[in-house]
Amino acid sequence: MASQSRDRLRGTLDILILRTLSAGPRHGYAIARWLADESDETVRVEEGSLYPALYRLEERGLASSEWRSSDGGRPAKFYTLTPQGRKYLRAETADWLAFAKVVTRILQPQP
Amino acid sequence: MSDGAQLFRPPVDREIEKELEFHIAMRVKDLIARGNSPAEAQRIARAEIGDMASVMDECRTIGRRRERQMNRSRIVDEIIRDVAFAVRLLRRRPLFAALAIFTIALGIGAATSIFSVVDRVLLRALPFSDPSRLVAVWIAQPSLKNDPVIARLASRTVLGAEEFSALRDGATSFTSIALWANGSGMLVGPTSTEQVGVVRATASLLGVLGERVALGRGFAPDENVLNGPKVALVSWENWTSRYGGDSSVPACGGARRRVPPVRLGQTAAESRDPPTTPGRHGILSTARRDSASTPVPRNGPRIVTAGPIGQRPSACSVIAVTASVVADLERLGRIPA
Repeated sequence: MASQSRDRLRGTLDILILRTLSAGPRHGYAIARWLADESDETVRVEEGSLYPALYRLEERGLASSEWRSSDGGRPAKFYTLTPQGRKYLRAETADWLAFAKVVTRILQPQP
Repeated sequence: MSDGAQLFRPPVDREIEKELEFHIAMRVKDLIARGNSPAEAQRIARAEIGDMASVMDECRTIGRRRERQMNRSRIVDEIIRDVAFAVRLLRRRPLFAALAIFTIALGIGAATSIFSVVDRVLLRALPFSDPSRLVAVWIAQPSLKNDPVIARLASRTVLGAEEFSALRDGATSFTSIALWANGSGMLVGPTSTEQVGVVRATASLLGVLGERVALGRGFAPDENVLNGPKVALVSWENWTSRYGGDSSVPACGGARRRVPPVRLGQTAAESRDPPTTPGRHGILSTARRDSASTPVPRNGPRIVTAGPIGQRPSACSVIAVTASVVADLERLGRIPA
């Protein structure tokens, strides 16, 4: 059960990251910032989870990376969604929404 | 990825370090903008990351794995591209293609053949029990060097019966000595006749090589004399391949065969060949005493001397061995003393 929860959390983090990248290339800090801003600081991704997740996504071919200058002129590693990652994001999002819909229906008090 | 970006990329082991440095710098900038002091901002940013070493370790492991995968795919891609390019080129010029393929095949064949010979003759140890103690001996006759016909014998003249006897009786540096000559003979069986590798040798040869008779017996002292009983040994390979490992083979002696039905240590069938001639063969005719009687140091090198082949050997006076053993003895004969 604990393993399933961990897998779901990891899977959720993966699709959150991929969703962030669907708007364009971003470095790790920008991803964390975007998620925090979009969730009104509710989603706070720890760096200890974020970077290994990014490396795994790159390994699976769902994201690619390149080093280039950031806005401040400092070199940063920018991640980009790959076509394979976009396809994966679509499928996982649909699954997640269906799952959330069912859970919401169960949890919502009946009128 | 652009070339510039590729040049920008740090090595995989340093990549995560640089990435986290950037992350901390950005976080510190944010925290300062929110009113924290630089020192406080640094402390908070580092505390948020937590166990930095463990994060770096995990990322490095994944990064190295990914790099290995990428290298593998890159190599495969390059090979596929190169092969496709080569095929396109070759299809455009079929004559050149045929010539190139033929040349490569010839080169591979030649290299393989040369390596087989070098491997067999020079690299592999002789398959005898103590090959480092085996030496081959020839006679050097510098006076023959300028002879237009037999100059090749100047540095390598094989030993005859007299030299063999003198060496065996007089030398104190060798544990035992044997004389042998490689050759071939016709093995006439009930249904077929085959040419087999044959070694004519003194009875001491097996002892010198450290070989033993697996079934039957070896040569008896009274067989190691001129015009003695015609006996032969057959190798294990011959016994299993020609006689199907038949254990009765050492006892059946009735068949008429030129090389007798080479029994393991048994007296062979009658021979229609003329007997060996003393002096010319120098192998069976002079090896009257067993080499074990030679007073030599126990741990000294053993010696195998190459003897003259002379006229065609009597088929019944031979030790029949497999081609492989013949080849090994030939190899031994190529090793300078």
